[in-house]
Amino acid sequence: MGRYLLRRVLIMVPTLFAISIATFIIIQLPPGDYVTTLIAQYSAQGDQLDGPQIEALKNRYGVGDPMIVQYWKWISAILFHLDFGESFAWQKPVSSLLADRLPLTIALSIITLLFIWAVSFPIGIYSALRQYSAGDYVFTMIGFIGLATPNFLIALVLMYLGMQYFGTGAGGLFSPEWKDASWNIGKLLDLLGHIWVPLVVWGTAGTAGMIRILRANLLDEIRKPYVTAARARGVSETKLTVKYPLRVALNPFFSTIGWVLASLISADAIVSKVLNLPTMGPLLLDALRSQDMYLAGSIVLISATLTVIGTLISDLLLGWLDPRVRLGAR
Amino acid sequence: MTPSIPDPTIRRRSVLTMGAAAGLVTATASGCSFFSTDPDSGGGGSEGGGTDAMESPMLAEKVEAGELPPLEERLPAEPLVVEVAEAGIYGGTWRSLTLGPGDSASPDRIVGYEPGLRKSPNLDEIGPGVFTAVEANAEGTQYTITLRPGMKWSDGEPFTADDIVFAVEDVFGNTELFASPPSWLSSDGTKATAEKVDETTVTVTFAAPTGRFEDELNRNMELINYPMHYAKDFHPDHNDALDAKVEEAGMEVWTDLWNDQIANEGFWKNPELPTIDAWVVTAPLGEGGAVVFERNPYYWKTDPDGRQLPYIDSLSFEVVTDPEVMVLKVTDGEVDMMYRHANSSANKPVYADSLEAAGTQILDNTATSMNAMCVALNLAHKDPVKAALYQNKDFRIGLSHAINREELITSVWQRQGEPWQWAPSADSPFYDEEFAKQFTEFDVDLANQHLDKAGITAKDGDGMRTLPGGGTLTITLDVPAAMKPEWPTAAAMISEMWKAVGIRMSVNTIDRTLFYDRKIYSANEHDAGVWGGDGGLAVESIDPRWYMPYSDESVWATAWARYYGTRGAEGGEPIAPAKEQIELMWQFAAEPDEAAREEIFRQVLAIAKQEFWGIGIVTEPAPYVVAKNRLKNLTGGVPDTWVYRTPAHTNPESWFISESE
Amino acid sequence: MTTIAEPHGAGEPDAPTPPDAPAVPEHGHHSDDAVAVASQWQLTWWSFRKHKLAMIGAVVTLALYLTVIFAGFLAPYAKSFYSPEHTYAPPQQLHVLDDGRFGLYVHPQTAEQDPSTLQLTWTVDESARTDVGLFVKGDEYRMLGFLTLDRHLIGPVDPEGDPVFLLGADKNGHDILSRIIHGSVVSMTIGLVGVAISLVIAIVLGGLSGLLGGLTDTIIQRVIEFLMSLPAIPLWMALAAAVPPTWDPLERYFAIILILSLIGWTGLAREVRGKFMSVREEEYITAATVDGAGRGRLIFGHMLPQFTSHIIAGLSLSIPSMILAETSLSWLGLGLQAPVVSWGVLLQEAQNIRVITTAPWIMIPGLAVVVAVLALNFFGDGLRDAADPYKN
Repeated sequence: MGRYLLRRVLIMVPTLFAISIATFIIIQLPPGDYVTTLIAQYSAQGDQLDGPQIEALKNRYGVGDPMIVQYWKWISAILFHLDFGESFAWQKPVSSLLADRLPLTIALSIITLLFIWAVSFPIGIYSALRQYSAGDYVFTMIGFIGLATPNFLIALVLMYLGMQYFGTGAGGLFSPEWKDASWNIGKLLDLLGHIWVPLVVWGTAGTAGMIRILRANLLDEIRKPYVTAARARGVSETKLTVKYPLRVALNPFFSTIGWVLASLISADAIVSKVLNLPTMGPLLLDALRSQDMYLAGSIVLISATLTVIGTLISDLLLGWLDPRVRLGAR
Repeated sequence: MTPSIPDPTIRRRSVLTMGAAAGLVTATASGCSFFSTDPDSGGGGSEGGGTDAMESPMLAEKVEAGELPPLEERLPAEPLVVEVAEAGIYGGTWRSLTLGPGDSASPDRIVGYEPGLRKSPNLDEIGPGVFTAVEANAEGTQYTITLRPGMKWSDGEPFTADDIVFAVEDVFGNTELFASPPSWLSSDGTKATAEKVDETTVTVTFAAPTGRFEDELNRNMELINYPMHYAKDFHPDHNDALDAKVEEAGMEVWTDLWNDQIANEGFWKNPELPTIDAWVVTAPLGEGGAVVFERNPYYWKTDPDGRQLPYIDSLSFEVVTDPEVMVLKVTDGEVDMMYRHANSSANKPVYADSLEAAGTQILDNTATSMNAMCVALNLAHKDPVKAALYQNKDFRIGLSHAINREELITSVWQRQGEPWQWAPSADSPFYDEEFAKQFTEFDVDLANQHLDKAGITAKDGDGMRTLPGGGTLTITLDVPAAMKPEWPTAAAMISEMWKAVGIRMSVNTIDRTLFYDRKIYSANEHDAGVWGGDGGLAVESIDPRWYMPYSDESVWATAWARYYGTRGAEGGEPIAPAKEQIELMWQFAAEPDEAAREEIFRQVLAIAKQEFWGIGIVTEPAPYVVAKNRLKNLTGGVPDTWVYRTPAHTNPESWFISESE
Repeated sequence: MTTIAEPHGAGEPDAPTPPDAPAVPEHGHHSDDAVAVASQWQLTWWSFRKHKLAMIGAVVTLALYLTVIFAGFLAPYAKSFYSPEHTYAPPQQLHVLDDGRFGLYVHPQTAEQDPSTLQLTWTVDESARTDVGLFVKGDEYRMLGFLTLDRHLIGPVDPEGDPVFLLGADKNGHDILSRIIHGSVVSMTIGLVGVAISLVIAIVLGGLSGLLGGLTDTIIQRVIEFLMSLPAIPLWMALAAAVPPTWDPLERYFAIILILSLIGWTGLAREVRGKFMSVREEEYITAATVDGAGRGRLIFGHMLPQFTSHIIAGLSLSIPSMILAETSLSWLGLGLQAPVVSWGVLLQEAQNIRVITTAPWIMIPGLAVVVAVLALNFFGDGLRDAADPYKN
């Protein structure tokens, strides 16, 4: 186990390095830079910047330096000072912006994950055990539909419906009067009233996938010879299902923990933007659009790193759970 | 799992209150605040004060407590008196929205119009602003500015001539901040100088006559942006310990710190920065979900009864990321005023539907843009063959006649507007019907005639006209994406219309920054481009980009505009009529006499009419504002322009919130 | 082998792995003897046939691709047709009986616009009729690239008269029904072409990885991991923004496909690798090697056929992801844009409050996406379940 861990960690290093370069290139790839974004913005509102002003802006944002220099400045600041730079648009250090939004993003991701688990677990088991039943078909259909509809459309429609019929304010997680208020039960209830929209939107797609995996795995396991043998020996049906197959079928739950880490940051930027949720997603989207280099680059880098770490954790968990994986069996 | 659906007729808040109250009466009674179901963040501000109070109760309290000097000491000897429709009630928080972190324009359009001389809400008269008077000498080289005795910055320090001199000499004269001085403060390339005469009088002297300065004062806030007593600590000439300060702030150069805290964005990011605006930022961007401004206790304006303005205690701009969310919030009644980003023609019916439920009203304004879509061929094209063709007036006339504007208006612009070229709007003193309507008739035969006259009679196998000398003729039309939804659709339709007369046009929808990158004179890569028609009303001579080559915004000839901007040093030689216009505008900039200026500008317009530089489509739809009924003293029907920060020129300080609506 | 859930990574937007269609008993009613001697394909077919949802999926998928081929014929109007007076027009009800006889017609409708609020109020003129016919003459179109025809399945009898908008019109007066049909051409083929490219890359790289093992495997695995860890949206944005602006819509279309498939091959490659790894140890491979079969023959002659059906199943499950990806990209404004018509572009125009509150029929393309994705999923699932007839 130790050697496995060591091997994986070592391989991570060049991967992360490659990721940082790729991230930087990705951010710089679109034409223009933050200064041209600013100029275009001013122009769009009827304002004009003249030559000297533009020069000053270019100096200020350092967009005139060659690529290598910019990359080195950025990566060395991160590695040596854990300084992720400053966002041009927000005029604040990236780390403080992230710190503002991280708790909520994490909370939402975890809540969504719990929601998905809570819903898919019973349904998955039911579907596997009661194959071909009406319930099986119905649940599968619902799962499919949730999966097949583009998320952003659901989000907008749900938000509108929420407003029309349930009186929940438009988007966001709180009604205006609760936004900056201190926490009490009223605020909690207000939050619940708003949070069901993003939960439903994200939950449907994730739940569908989870149900499928759980069901397929359980079905596979149930057919295995050891289950038949156990049944022949007189073990009760429930024990049969729960004791061994279920444990194996739970594998995917552990691998999705890795997913949570990864999705922490880029999780559904589109839907968050539509629903006006103060998570990382919209932050990233806007940063990319305006070429807010340090903000976008840092978020992408962190997200990619978390993905790699997440995959590692998943593999480790699975390795611990299932020796066959660890030993490289096919 | 979706929660069970409550009876839609019961608003959620009451459900919560009922449920929570029923179960938790004892807990509340025991004083445990967690179990309360009331928000403790308020709508802010104290209520009432009737119409007898001379100042806001919020401030009166502070005076009582000895934290603020009394009213007479806070106001200048002669405050600016603002006419109000109705005597207002002090108090309340005005709520609106900003779109993302970079939208400083939204608060700027409310608090940001405090120029030296002030234009009336209808933009037709000029009166005193921060300055009580400005006098020019006969040659137009020296301007004497009179300030208000006793006027103070928002931190109580006096506003004096020192502040103006500081701005002119230390700020605009500092080459690290401004590599070359702003054009409005220069003549013949040299910066003007400012001299303090006494505490409330300043003279600004130019090397050569300039007509621009006095005109500029009614829309320029730069001169009044720099409180010397505060800003000098950020300036190397006045603070020896500046380097330490810069390092402490985590920056590298003092100009970075300066731009962050003082200039540009300082007004909504730095709560310490003294201003003379009606409201001062207290909760800057990035902390919490809203940018909050609170009243300036030293604001220097009163209503006719001598009561200190503003009436409204605070402004709250919630940061939102999607314009559709803005629409929802407005129809939900959460927004006191929505005046940009979500006020398109397409959205108007949505707001109209919800007027009653949301308690709102729609105020129509006048567009200052003269065209919703200017289609500009690049007359200064790098390719000489294309340049010659595009410069051929018949070519442009033919293309113009081939466009069925009525169809575009009905299909794309919600049936609003009339066909229009690049000409001043109907309400403008420069309005010329012939200029506005020339070549707008949809006539395919006429179009073909003119195209034939332009010399491109030869056609290829597909029936499309070819360039003189052979070679495919394709016009690539750059359309900036995500700006006006009408542009890509209209461009596609125009492409079909031009196809019918044998002209190939390909619609190139690109990102806004890329659009900019391609069209600026240094690149000059574009074939043709689309943009809105600024300069139709109220700002015609201030922004004549579509009438003559003025700046990088003159998409139709950015190279020639460079010639104008550098006094002939760069940009290549413009064709004769354009050059004539450029020379006229150079005269215009140096001409102090109002009547003479107008005459010069009319000559420029006459040439524009004759030359027909480019193709317009339709008048700009009237912009509108959606405001809550509880907001009073609003003025509608005004021209909407960034130059005067609409609606800031309609005196937001005179608005008040009346809950009894 | 335990199934390991893939983490969300690059390449797939909000589209996670699709759920299973419920399985069915194998081989249905055929006798054991018949089963014993049936060929692999026959077994696959029998297995598949029992799978009701999969059959429906297959039928619908076929119908969708037929729509793609016959788009010009099936759509009442050409792609670019619009009626300026009918912006935001609601769907018109098709009447079948005309005074007791069979006759298709709709009632014309006109709009009144409130000058200050710009609201449109539609009135249907019950007294008048716009005749609708089958196989009517209409706009010209090209079929299969070379035939120029002008007959449409359904449409107004008088093409110059009042328009017939069976599913309503959008904000510019385009016919929603026609645009959905024309949009299917782009959206459905993007899936096919993109997946084809992904497949080629996946087979080559996944195969090399699985067959050769060792260092090649590690390197390719790391590359895959690297690609999958790059967040999708930034990658798309950057690549889409880097497409030269001077390319015309068609070139842009292919560039988008390329971008999508360059990212999408990773999942497929991992599966292919897994399969290769499990198959290469089989006895018949050893036998063939001993027999002197070259590498190429080994791969293409023996191994690939083993899991062709798995690959096909994987493909048909990737297509919906591509469709959803294109939709998301176009919605973000990065993929296709007007004047190209795709479901993604159509949905982009539906994404606002004005549409949702006053003209909800403009969201119907969303339904098309749902149907297509569902059908392909059921089809693919059925294929995958049936793919290994020797399972039991």
